[in-house]
Amino acid sequence: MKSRFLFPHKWRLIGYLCFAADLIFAIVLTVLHPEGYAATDLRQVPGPGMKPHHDICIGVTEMRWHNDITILLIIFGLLLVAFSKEKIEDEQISQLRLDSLQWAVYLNYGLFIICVLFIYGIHFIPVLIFNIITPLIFFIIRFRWKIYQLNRLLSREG
Amino acid sequence: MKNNIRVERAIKNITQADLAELVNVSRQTINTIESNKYVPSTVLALKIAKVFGKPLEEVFMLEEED
Repeated sequence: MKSRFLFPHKWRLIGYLCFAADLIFAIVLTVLHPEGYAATDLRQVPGPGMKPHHDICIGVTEMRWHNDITILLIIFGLLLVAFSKEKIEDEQISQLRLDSLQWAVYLNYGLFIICVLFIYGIHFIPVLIFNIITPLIFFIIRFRWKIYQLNRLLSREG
Repeated sequence: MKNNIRVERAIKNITQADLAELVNVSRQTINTIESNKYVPSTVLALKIAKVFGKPLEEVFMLEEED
């Protein structure tokens, strides 16, 4: 069975590097903006029809740029980690991939429904932000766990 | 579905890794098929039977609950 739409095996490393770079970037930003990066961004965005102050405008553009980079880098990294081929990509791996994807989608929507029911107003924004990456993260964790289990089974039986 | 790949391997004197290489799958896949944890596709089942030079039914057989 041919697996389609997968990246070459080695690209997974690039994915992990992107993810690590993004994590470091996020930590640096948290140190630089302890009051909350996104919050600063939102506060400085001029309301509709308002003329922004020149200095603020530059700050906002720079922040937008940072935000774009962090979001794109993390999505790109996670996609590569999730959808790079295994060393031997056979039919069992394809099935595990599909299973894990379904599992991740169910889990993600399950948690999302809980959040919809219990979280209101401005506090819902972080939920939406995390939802950009959680389906992929759930998928990766479950898929890697299943592969780990397979390998453990093999080493136990020799 | 049951199979007697382990027996056939012993007769032919090949390891899981050898068989895996012959049919282009991972060792893990052969291992899980042997321990009845994974049911292979028809293509893979036919390939495995071909390696042993036996008809499919002699390597893979249905169980009561199938």
